[in-house]
Amino acid sequence: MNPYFYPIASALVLGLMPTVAKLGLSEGMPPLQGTLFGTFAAIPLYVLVLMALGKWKDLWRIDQRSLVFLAASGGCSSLALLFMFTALSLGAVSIVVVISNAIPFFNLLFVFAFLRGERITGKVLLGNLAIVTGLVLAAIA
Amino acid sequence: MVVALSLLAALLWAATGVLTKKGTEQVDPVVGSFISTCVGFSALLLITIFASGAEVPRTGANQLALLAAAGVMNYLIGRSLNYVSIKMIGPSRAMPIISAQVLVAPVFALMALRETLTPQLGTGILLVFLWTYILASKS
Repeated sequence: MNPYFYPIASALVLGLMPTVAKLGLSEGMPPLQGTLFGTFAAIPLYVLVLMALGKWKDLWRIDQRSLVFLAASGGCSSLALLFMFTALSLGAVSIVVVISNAIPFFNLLFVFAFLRGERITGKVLLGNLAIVTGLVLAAIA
Repeated sequence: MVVALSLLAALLWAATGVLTKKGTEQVDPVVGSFISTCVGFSALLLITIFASGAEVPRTGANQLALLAAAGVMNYLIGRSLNYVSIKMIGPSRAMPIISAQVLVAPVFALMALRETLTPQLGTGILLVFLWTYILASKS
C-alpha cells in the first residue's frame, strides 16, 4: 500500500470526527456524558488491537516515569475532547475545528515556559502570528 | 464561550503532545495510547459522577452509535494512523498531510450539517492550515 495512504486517511478520519460528534450530540446528550461514552467505546477495540498485535504483555512492563506522563497525557486529552464536544454542542464545527487547531501556538508557549534551550526562529514566530490571525478571523466569523 | 472552549481544547492537546512524547520514549505507542485512553476515561468517569451523579441521559441509539464512532475515530483510528504515518514516511512528510484535517472538517460540516462558510472563516481556515503545514513540515 502507498505509504501516503496513512496520513491522508488520518486527515480524513480526524476531519470527519467533529461532524460525527456534533450529530451524536444533536438530540440532548450532554457533552460530558457524550465524551465519556465516546472514550469508553474506544477501549474494547484497543484491547482487541493490542491482543492482535501481541502487545498485551507490554502493559505490565511499563516503568513508573512513563506511566506518570501517559496518565497526565490521558487526563489532558480527555479534557481536551470534553471541551471540544462542549464547544461543538454550542457552535459550528468549522469554527471549533479551526480554533482547536491552534496547537502550534500553544506548543510555542510551552517551549517558552519549559524548554528554555530550544531555539525559536523568526519563521516559527511568523507562522504563529499567522495562526493567531486565522483564529481571530474564525472567532469573529 | 465556543471560542474559549476551543482554545482550551487546543491548549490541552498541545500539552498532550508534549506529555505523550515523554511518556512513549520507552513505551510502544499503541500501548501508551491505550493507557492514556484508560486514564482519560477514568478521569471523565469521576468528573461525570461528581457533576451529574449516576443519572443516565436519554438519547437515541443512532446518537449513541455516532458518539461511539467519534470516540473510536479520535482515539483508536486517528492516533494509530498518525503513529503509523510518522513511522512509515517520517514526521516531516506525515504531519503536514495530517494537518489537512482543518480543511477537511469544514467540508464535512458543509455537507452533513449545512453550515455556511463565510469569507472570514475561509481565510482563517487557510491561514491556520498554511502555517500549520509550514511549521509541521520543518519538524
